[in-house]
Amino acid sequence: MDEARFKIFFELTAKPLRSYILSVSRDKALSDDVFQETYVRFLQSESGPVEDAKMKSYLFAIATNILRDQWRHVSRWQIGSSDENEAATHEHHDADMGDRHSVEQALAKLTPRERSLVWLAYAEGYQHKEIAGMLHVGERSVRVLLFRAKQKLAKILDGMGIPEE
Amino acid sequence: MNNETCRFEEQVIDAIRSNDWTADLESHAASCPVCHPTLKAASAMRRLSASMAGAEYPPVNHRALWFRAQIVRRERRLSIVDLVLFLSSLGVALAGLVAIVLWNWDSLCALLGGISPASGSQLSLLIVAGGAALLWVLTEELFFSDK
Repeated sequence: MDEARFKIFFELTAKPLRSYILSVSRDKALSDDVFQETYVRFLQSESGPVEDAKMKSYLFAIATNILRDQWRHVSRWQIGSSDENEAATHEHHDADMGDRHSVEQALAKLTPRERSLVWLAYAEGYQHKEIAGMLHVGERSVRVLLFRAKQKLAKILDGMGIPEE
Repeated sequence: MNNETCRFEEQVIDAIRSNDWTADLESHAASCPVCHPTLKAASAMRRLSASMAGAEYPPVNHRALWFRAQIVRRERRLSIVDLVLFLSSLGVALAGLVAIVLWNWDSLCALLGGISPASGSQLSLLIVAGGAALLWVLTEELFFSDK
C-alpha cells in the first residue's frame, strides 16, 4: 500500500475505528495508543487483504487483538468494568450529549468483550461470521454471546429508562 | 425460531439502519423477545456511534502513522539483515577453522604427539578461548554496537 492509498483508507476508517476502540476500552489514553498501534501493525502486515471492505474488518480485527492483549494480563476482557474510567469517554456535558452519556453508562456495565460484540454487530454492522474471525471464536459462539450481550444491554437501557429512538 | 434467533431479526436491523419501518415489522419488533432487545441495543449503538463520529477525532494524522510504520519496518529489516550477517559470518568462521584444521591435520597430530599432555591441554584451552573470543566479538559488533 502506498501513502496516497493509505491516506484515503485512513480517512475512511479513522473515526469509526477511534469510536470502536474508545467505546470498548473506555480509556482515552489507552485508546490513543491502541489506535496508533493498530495502524502501524496494519501497515506492517504484508499478507493482509486488498479489498477496502476486507481491509477495514482486518483493521478492526487488529484493534480487537491489541485490546484483548491489553486486558489479558489484567484479566479484564471478560469482566465488567462498571465505572472505571467513566470520565474518560464523556468529556462533553451539553444537553445534546446527554443521550450519548446515558448509552455510554449502560455500555460501561458490559464486559469489554460484550462491548466489542455489540459495537461490531450493531454500530459497524458486521455479520456473525466476520465477528467470529475478529474475536477468534466460533460463529455459533458469537451468536450465543451476542444474544446474551444484547439482552443484558437492553435490560440495562430499560432500567435506565433510555428509549429506542 | 429458537430462543436466540428470529427470522425477522435481520429485517429489524436493516430497518434501524435505514429507518424504513413497515407497520408489521414495527409491531413485531416491539413484542418479539429476540427482536425487542435487538431493537434497543442496535438503536443505542447506532446513536452512540453517530454521536462519537461527530465529536471524536483521531489523535494523529495519517502521515505520522505512515512514517512511524516505515521506521518500524526499517528497524525490523535491519535486525533481519543483522541476523543473516551474523549467521553467515559464523558459518564462514567455522568453515575456515575446520579447513585449517584439516589442511594441517598431519602437522597438528605431530605437534600434539610431540608435546606433553599438559601442553596439549593448554593448546586446546587456547583454541577454545580463541573461538569464544571470536564469537563474542562478532556478537558484540552485530547486535550491541551503536549504528
